[in-house]
Amino acid sequence: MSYDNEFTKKLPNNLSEFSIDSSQWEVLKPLYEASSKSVKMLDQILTIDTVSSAVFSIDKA
Amino acid sequence: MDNLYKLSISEASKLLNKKELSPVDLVNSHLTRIKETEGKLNSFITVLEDTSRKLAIQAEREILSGKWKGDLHGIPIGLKDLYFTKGVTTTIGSEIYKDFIPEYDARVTTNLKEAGAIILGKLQMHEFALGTTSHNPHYGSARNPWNTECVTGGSSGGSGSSVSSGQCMGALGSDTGGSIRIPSALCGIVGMKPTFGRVSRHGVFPLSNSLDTVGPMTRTVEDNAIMLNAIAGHDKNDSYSSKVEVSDFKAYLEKDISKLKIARPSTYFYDVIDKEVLDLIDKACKQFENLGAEVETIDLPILDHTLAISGTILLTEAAELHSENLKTKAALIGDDVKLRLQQGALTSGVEYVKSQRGRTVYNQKINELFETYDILLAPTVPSGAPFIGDDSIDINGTQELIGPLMARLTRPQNITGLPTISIPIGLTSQQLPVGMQLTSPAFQEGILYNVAHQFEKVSTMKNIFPPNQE
Repeated sequence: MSYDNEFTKKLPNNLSEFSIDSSQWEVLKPLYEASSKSVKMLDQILTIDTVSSAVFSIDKA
Repeated sequence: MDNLYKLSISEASKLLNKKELSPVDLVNSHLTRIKETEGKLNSFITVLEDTSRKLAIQAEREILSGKWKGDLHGIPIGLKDLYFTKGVTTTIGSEIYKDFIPEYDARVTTNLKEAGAIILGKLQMHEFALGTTSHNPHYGSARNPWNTECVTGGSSGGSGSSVSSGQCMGALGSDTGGSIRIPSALCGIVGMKPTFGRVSRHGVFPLSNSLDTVGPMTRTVEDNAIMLNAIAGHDKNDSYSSKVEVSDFKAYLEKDISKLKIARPSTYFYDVIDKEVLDLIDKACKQFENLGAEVETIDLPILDHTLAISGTILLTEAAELHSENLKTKAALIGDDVKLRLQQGALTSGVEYVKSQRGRTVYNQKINELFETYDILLAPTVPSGAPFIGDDSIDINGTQELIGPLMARLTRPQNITGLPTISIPIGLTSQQLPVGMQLTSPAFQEGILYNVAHQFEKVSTMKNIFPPNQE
C-alpha cells in the first residue's frame, strides 16, 4: 500500500520558519495529501462500532 | 586480564562477585576503549570520565566489603542522551536543548544507579529521536563500527555503536517506531523493545506519548535480561506505567522451546527486502525448526495499514510535544526533523482519531494470532546499514528511500505495544550485520528472552565484535 510521505528531493533552504509560505507548502502538500489518502483507506477496516483507542492502554488489550 | 571490554555483563558480573575482577579495571578498560575508538565512531555526546572513575572506586570498596548489589554492580553502561541525568547535560540530540541540565534523574537512571551500574556517558542520537539514521546536524553522525562509512541506524545510534564496539557493556535506547531495534540490527547487537508500560518513561524526553518505549541494548540476550530486570516495573510518575507483575527474566533463558509455534507473516514484511536478508531469515527459520519449533508462514492483511496508522500517530504526537519549539525555535531544528514535525502539525483531528480507531482493529487482529502461535517472527530491517549521507539504497536492483525503509518493519510492534526483541542472525556479503525480530504477547518478555537465548546458543553471532575494531 502506498504511503509516500517521505520527501524525495533535496531539501530547500527555506524551512527555517514554522509559518508555511507557498514554496514550503509546495514541499509539504504532496506529503500531506499522501498521508490523508492512506488514512482515508482505513475506512476499509473501520465500522461504526470501532471505538477509538486514543488513550492507549495495553493492560486492557 | 587483557581486553576487559570484550567481556559480557554476565561474565564480568561473575568475576566481580567473586572479587576476581576490579570495577576500577573494568571501567578503565572501557574509558581507554572510548579514547581509542571515539574519533572514528562519534558514539558519545558527553563522556563522564571523572565521575565514572570515582563510582568505580566506590563500587570496588562496596564489593570488597561484601556489599555486592547484583548483576549490574560495577558494570559500565551508557544512556541515550534523552534520559534525564541530574546535573549532567541532556541534549536530546538537539541544538535547542544543548545546555539543558535536568534537576532530577529519570526513573530508569535511578534504577540503574541503585543496581550499582556505572554510567560512562550520554550517547549520540537522531535529533529528538525523530529519525532512523542518527545522522545529526548538531553533533555529527554516529558511525557504524562494522563500517564507519555506514550509519548506525537510529534513533538510538550511539547506543548501538558504543555497545557493538565495546565502549560500554550495555546501553539504554528508546523505541517509538523502531529506534532500539534498528540500530541493534545494523550494529549486530541485541535490542529489546519491552511491552508498552513495562518500563517507566518518567524523565525520558518524549517523542510520541502513545508509542514511546524504553529498553536495553546489549551484546548478549542474557545481558539484556539482566538490564531489563533492573529497569522494569510500575512507576506512579508515568501515567501509562503498568502494574503487571515483573518476574526474573533470567529465569526463562534455559526453558525448552521444542513445542514452540512461530508465525512468520508473509504480508508486508517481505514487500521490499534485500535478497541476502531474506536468505538469512530463511536460515534462521530452519535453525528454529532444528531446535524443534514449528514455523508456519501466515497471511496477515491488516499489516498493510501499518504506515498509515503509525506515521499519523507518531508525527502528530511529536508535533504536539514540540509545538512551542516549532513555533519559536524552528531555525534551530535540523531540516529533516523540522519537515517531519511540520507534517505532523498539518494532521487534522479527524485523521488522528481515525488512525487511533484503525489501531484498535489492527491490535485486535494481531492479538488474535497469539491464540494459535507463541511468537511472531520477522526481519528487523530490510537491508544492511546504508552509507552515511545517502538518500537511497539499492535493494535487488531498485533504489529505495532510506528514511521510510529503515523503520518499515519495526513500526507494527509500536502500534500494538507488544514486546519485541531484535537479535543478530548473520552478516551480508559486505560484512554488515542483519537482525531478526521476535514478538510475543504483552508482558511476555521472558518468553522472548528464552527463545532468543536458545537461538543464540546455536548462532555464531553472540557477543561478536566487528573485525576492524579488534
